[in-house]
Amino acid sequence: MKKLVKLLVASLVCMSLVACGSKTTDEGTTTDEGTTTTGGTLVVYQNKSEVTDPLQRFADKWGEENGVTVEVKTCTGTCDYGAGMKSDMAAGETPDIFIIEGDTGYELYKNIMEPLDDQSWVADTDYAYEKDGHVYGMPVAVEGYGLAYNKDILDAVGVDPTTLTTLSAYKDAFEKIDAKKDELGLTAVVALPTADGMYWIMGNHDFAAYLSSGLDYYDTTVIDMTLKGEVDADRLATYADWVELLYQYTDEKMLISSTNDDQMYQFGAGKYAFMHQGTWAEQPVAEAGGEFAMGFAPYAPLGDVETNGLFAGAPSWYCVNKDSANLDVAKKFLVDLAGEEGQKMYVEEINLISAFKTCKTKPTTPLAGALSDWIEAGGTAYSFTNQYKTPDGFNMNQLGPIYNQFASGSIDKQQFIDLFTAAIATLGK
Amino acid sequence: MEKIRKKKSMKSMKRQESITYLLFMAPAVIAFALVEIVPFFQGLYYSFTDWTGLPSNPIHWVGIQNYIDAFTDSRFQYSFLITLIFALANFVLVNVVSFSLAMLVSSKLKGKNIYRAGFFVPNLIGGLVLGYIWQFIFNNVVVSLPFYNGLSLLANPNTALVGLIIVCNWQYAGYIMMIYFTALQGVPKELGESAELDGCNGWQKLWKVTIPNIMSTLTVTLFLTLSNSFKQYDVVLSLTNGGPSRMWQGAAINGTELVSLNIVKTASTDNLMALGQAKAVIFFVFLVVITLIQTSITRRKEIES
Repeated sequence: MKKLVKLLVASLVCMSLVACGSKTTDEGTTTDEGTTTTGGTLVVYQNKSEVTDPLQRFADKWGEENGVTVEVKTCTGTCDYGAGMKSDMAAGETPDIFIIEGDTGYELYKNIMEPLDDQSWVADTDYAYEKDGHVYGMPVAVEGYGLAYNKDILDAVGVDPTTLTTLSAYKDAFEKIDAKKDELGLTAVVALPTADGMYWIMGNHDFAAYLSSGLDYYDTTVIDMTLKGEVDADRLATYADWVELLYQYTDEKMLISSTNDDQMYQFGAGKYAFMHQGTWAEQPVAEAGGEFAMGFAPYAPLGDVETNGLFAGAPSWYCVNKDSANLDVAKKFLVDLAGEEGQKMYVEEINLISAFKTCKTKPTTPLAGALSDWIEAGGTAYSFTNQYKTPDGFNMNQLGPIYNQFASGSIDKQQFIDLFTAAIATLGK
Repeated sequence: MEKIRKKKSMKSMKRQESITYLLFMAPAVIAFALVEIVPFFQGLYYSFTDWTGLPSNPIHWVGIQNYIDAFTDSRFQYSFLITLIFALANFVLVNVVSFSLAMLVSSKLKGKNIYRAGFFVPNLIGGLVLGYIWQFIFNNVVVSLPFYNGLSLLANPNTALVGLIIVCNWQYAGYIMMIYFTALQGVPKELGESAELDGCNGWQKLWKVTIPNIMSTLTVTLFLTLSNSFKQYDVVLSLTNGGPSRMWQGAAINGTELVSLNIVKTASTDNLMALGQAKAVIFFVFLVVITLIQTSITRRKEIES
């Protein structure tokens, strides 16, 4: 019995030593010894599967030139980035460079974020992540969305996409297209799924129309009201009209039981004139054979008030762990990533839009190309981030089911407005 | 004197033996303690705090606030209700189906080995994969069948629950069938034959001879299916992800969000780790009570027979 106790004690001591050990080394490298001791591996933890390989190639080359190993870790799809970060941090293996997707990420990791105000790329971009007067994040790329359209179909029916700026204009256009649906081989006018798992489409992107349409990029009036638990009743009424119109011209199957894969492929296959998606839909659309000209039309959530902006901005930012043993190396990596070589990689290999002014390369793919042209031509942009200021899970778990109920027809427009108002009211508590 | 010495040596031998046993058990016990016991008590502690899951954020004691929040959360209440309905239906159906299959493959049927393997195979596919496959089947294959009109099963919260039960049965019935099958092999044939001679019909034979003889197996299978039905997570995640929505107490909520999924969503989507932990503790206590009741009932039956 005694032996067993000894054994147990010994193993416990060992374990606690291991635990303490990792802690002490952690602190040791972070505080005073800095970069000199490690010179080892720089860990970049990011969340885009299509970025992984090109970024690793870039990182390998960069690492060779600078004498460090760079490891690109990716968490995407069913992998939960937040959970991954939490377990890495708990294990004392916080990545040197990590991703945030807005204020939620900032709130979670603000204790380990290094201010990047003095970095050379800050002056070169409009999309850096700023909070409380400091720059904390370097934009990964620019993405955007609106109502993507198939230009061939619009041309065939005689709809000019530049006129699609009010609800009535949309109504006319949808009616026209719907009348020629069979002739054009369309399933329906709009492709918009609302099933669970797709809640982000309405809960994030369409909710943005309520929060930001028609306002200046940095105008936070509506989101501020929302966070206080108040709704702008007039705005919500016209917004509900917009949602109703979209639902009305989407077929029931797409609306209720399809996934975003179905949505993108079907649009690419020319079965729908419009698709409620953004630049990230590029690849599936192309795979489905979508070789027609495309573009984005603005949402029209304000009734007869004209809205002429797309939602464009940086959806995610690279941040630097201030406790990193490789702090300076990490910063230098980001500087070079923002430079010509790095940005070329994003644009040419991954077809993203560069967030930096000095980058002259433009994506050639239809959706990203359309948005890139829009930005270059000085087109209006609405806030890309207001909808992410709600508490975690609110858009998905509270609003998502409301949109879905409205789509399934079990509630009418008035109930939709009431539920929406009630859901937002809970934010004021 | 003699007696005492004998006693003593027996005692020391016993002691030595028990040390050996304990040593052999040590690796398993330590591993179990590290991955089960320690996290369990940690979790219990966290459920009384405002833990966020991030080491950099300080932890404050909040008492039973998380439990109050959990019990007053209408989404959680609904999850409990729907889990109960799902678990009971699934529990009954899995056992009925798997027992019938076991009877089938232990009968004189031609090609029963192939059937046996066939029924078992779905259990080898991971729940996530299986959920996505069936989602495709329900949403794209079934709806294009000529006699089928209307929307996919998964488009309505009530039928989605039916879909969920179908998939869980498909996955789990084969596994339970194997256990029943082994038990059925162990029932002495003479018993059945003599029962037949005494004029038993098939139904009576099943209830009076076969089932009493596999009572100990029933304890195991009922326990397995009951706890599995309550804890169902991966299939729900990939098949419906909690949807579609429905109206409940004047709010729109997810229609098939079982408790386990609700816990995960609370913890990782809403980022309320401590509340999720409190919900998990409630769920744990509930499961322990349910399975204890079930095993004590079947145990009693076991002794009787």
